[in-house]
Amino acid sequence: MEILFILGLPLLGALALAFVSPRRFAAEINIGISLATLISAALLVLRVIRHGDMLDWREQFFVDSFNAFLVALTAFVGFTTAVFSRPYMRVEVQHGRISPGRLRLYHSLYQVFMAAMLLALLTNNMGLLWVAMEAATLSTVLLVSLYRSRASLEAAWKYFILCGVGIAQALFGTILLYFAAEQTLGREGMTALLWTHLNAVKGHLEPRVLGLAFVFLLIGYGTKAGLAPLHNWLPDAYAEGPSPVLAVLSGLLLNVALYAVVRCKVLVEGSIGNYFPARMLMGFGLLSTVLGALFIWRQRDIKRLFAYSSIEHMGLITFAFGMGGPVANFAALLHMTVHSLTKSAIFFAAGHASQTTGTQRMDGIRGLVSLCPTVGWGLILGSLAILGVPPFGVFASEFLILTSAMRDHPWATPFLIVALGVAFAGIFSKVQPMAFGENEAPPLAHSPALVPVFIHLALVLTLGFYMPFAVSEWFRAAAKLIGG
Amino acid sequence: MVIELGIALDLLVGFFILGIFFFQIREQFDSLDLSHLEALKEE
Repeated sequence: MEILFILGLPLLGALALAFVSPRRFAAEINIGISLATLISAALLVLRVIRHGDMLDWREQFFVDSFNAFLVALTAFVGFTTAVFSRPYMRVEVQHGRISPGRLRLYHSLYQVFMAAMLLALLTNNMGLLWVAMEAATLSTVLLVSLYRSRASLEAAWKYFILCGVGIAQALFGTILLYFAAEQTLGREGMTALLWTHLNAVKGHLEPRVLGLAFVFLLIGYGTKAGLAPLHNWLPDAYAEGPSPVLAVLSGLLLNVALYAVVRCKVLVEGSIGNYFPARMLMGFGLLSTVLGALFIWRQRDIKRLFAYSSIEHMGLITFAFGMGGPVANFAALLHMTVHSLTKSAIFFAAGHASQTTGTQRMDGIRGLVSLCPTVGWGLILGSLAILGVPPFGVFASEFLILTSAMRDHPWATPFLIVALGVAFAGIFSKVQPMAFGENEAPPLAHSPALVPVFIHLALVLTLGFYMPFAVSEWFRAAAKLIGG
Repeated sequence: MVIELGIALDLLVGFFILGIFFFQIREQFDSLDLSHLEALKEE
């Protein structure tokens, strides 16, 4: 029942928003639908906590602690982003960067995108997972090119082509998976693509086919997760898209893509029984962490800067999932949560920062703290949080990842420490002059909605200080599920 | 069956978006020459 609401509400909302004139309450309707989705997600989580895993609708939907927490996170960030986008988009319309008609497109596609991500998380069917991932890509392509400028068209084109090719690889991987599963599970009952059935017989699946399938699935979904060297679309799309879209792309879509990779890894690891999938994840993860950190130094655009930071953090999470084991999986899940909360908060602040100063170039953004204290401090605190400064939750997860790397794979620790250090110096040295210093620019016409920024950062801070027993139990159960 | 329909829908929407892109690119650059789309690079 909750699942029906979680998926149906955004879809109905998308339809409704396509017909509502954007001048009237469209932003409020958007917020309302996101809130309703969040409430249904919370109910779903409560039910899973009380009654354990659930299968629904002829086993097509499956909820366990791993995806329940991601559904809750997705619905939550989706809601706060809707709250943030109301004043942000008003200012954009006022500055003449988008027309009211395109605002209608934005609201409608935003809800389609949310529905696609939630479907990808909830489905038990590997084929539907692919369909939902593709739908999530297609619905964001037009959001990235919302400004219709030359640069944004190019960015969206690149995103469309690269992710389209990437996701086609994942389709081939899914077909191979079906080929292997059909020999064990048979054709009756259409169970050969259901994850729960695959998971039950994963020891009997043909290992060679599954190994091949995993390569395609990892490359396919990894492109969407922004793993280096498949990350080329990500910085361009982030630099040219509107801030609320970046917040959900970076905070949520990367997580969902990684979720797909991890689901596949569980199956393949159970079938092959050696370290091949784990090593692949570790290799890609380490490469992304190091490359992302190094590229941070060369950036001049504020959104590109944090785009590379996203690549770095996705690499770190992938690396942790690759290491496996209860501690590393726990750390990876925690890092997924805190990264998506922090990064979306940063994109909220950065969006308002570039609106206030009228530029995305970092040398044009100066004196934010004196211009607009909430934006300035939001950016500073967000950057400190993402850099892993101690009281924030990112510190806890990075610390866990580093210690388990030291124990199990000591060769990787120097790379990780150097990458984290380089990223720290790079981001800190660029954010500091943006926040302090002198600037004279007129204040924005609509007061920015920065409540979401501080709610996100407060949550990240809380997770760093004290994790409620229920939450840590939940992460532990999910970590065990992934194979601890 | 759901998967087949889903894939078909995705492909259809994909080609639709490709069409929109061709239209928008022609509008912005007055041609479909993709060499215009090479401005975004690492500096």
